[in-house]
Amino acid sequence: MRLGYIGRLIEEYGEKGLSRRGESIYYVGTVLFVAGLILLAVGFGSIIFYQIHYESEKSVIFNTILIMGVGLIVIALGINFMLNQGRKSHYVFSTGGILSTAAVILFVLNYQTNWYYPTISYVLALYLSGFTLLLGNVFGNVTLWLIHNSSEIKERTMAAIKREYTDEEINRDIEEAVRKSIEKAGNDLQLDFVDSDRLRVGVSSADTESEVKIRDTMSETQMLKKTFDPGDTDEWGNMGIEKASSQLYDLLKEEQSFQKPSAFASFKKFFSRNH
Amino acid sequence: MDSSDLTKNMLKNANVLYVEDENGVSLLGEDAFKFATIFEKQARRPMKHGIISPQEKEAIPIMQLIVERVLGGNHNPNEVLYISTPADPIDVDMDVLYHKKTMEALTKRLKYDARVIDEGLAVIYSELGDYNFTGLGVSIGAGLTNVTLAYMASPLMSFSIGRGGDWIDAQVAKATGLSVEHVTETKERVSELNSKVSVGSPEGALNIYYDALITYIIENLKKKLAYISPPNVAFPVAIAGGSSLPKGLFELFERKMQTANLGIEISKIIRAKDPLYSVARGCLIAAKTMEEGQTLSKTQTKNAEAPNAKKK
Ligand SMILES: Nc1ncnc2c1ncn2[C@@H]1O[C@H](COP(=O)(O)OP(=O)(O)OP(=O)(O)O)[C@@H](O)[C@H]1O
Repeated sequence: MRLGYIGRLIEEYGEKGLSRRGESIYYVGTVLFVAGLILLAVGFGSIIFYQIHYESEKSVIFNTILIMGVGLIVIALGINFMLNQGRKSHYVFSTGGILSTAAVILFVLNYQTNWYYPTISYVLALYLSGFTLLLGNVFGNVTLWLIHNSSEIKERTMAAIKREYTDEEINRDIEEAVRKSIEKAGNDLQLDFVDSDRLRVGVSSADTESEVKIRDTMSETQMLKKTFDPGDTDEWGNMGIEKASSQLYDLLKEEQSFQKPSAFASFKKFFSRNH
Repeated sequence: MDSSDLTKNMLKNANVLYVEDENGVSLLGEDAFKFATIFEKQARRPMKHGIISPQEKEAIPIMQLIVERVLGGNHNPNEVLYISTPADPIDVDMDVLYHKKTMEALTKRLKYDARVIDEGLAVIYSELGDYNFTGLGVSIGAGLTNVTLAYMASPLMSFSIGRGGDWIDAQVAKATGLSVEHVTETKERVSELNSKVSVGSPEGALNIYYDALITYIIENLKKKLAYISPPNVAFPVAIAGGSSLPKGLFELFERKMQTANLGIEISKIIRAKDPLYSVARGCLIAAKTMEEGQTLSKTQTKNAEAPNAKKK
């Protein structure tokens, strides 16, 4: 597809990178926008100045409409130039520009001789469709830009949050994840040993090994069971219960002696308990 | 050693435990250590830093042999067995999990219902029964030092560090130029922290490195405790393991703990009743508890014995 001169220009700038594009196209856009505004203002000015109505002088009407028509196109073009656009919207806005410019040219050609019903509506339709494309393009781009921007903001805040983690914390998280995955893999692992008679033991073990025997009541076993399963019933007066309750007593006593409550702490405790 | 008949005869007469394979004869146990000291050679270890040594290709067959010798006798089918394993080390890069799985597989072969328990927790089970199994268990072994903090028998935090008796031996050997085996022998024979030592003896260096080891343990503990928020109770501390044996070490540990500002309240510091067997005893307590819980109705109260202990 052939691009219009402006389209090509924009393509070229787009490819040459943001900074070039930013500098020149944005500048051109601004100039066009302001020029368009001036044209529009001149148009309005002439409407007011000449008090234009249906019966006004034809050349005045022609000039005013021309100025305003061109002004509107130039404003729309200017805004389009200011926006950083993709390839597709270049096509849209080039088409819009061409259509509305064509409408203006047709108006100029036909106004004196052929400015009657069907032609007027064709030219007007052409102009409006071109102008709609230009404005639609602007609208679409602005919307896209807004969406992009808000997600970028989100990304930026996410990045800011992320940056609050220290390297140490990140490493810890990674290590934790790796540890978990290793553990999982390890739990699935089934190691099997084949009996090997590679090693032959030389001297009878009875002569070289000794058993260490230690007598031990291992009362901890009962205590451990109690600790794990405190609901386990026991007869009253049983050793286990006495032991457990004396342990509890010891623990509480120790806790008290170690907390050394200050006057303020007991004050605080009083209030938090009662209210 | 070469496997000539002469060598084997000599070893047999001397009642030295050895194994033979295609590469020759290897001495085992205490005797290997003695020979190494005499001939100024290095004793090889099937375990290093508390796990099966990855550098020794014979490690697994030897561990298999040890496990079979210690646990292979008569026992009830599916008797519960607890194996202690180190917690994840914070200063050495090594794979505790693989060791765990290997040990589990080795013992399951012998028809045990094998489970693993943290070494530090085993110390707590063995030593802190009177404190509702709440407190810190510290086991200063050979390759590693294991630390666990538990509340009502449930671990809150545990870690291990790659320093223990072996580290002391290696440092002192480096500082004095003596062989590691020589240092170990002196260390275990003297087994005391003296402030008065003669110049040039390994004892002076031993003092320094015991001090450094304890500081290192406490500093790491402090760092680890900063990451958790334990319940607001006073925790007793039990210290066990072969490297806690020397006279004066407990007092050194106590002194350093009291001034350490750990961020938790320490109620008292306890020396394990039998530091070398504390972990094994904790494992036995765990196994018995588990077994009695499982077969509540048909509990057979067996005469409790510490497991057969054999020197590596
Ligand atoms: N009487 C003693 N005095 C000083 N140190 C000793 C004494 N007896 C043993 N040790 C040291 O204790 C260590 C062995 O202790 P222990 O059996 O508790 O460790 P381990 O369970 O083999 O080690 P790990 O926890 O790394 O698996 C060795 O470093 C040994 O030199």
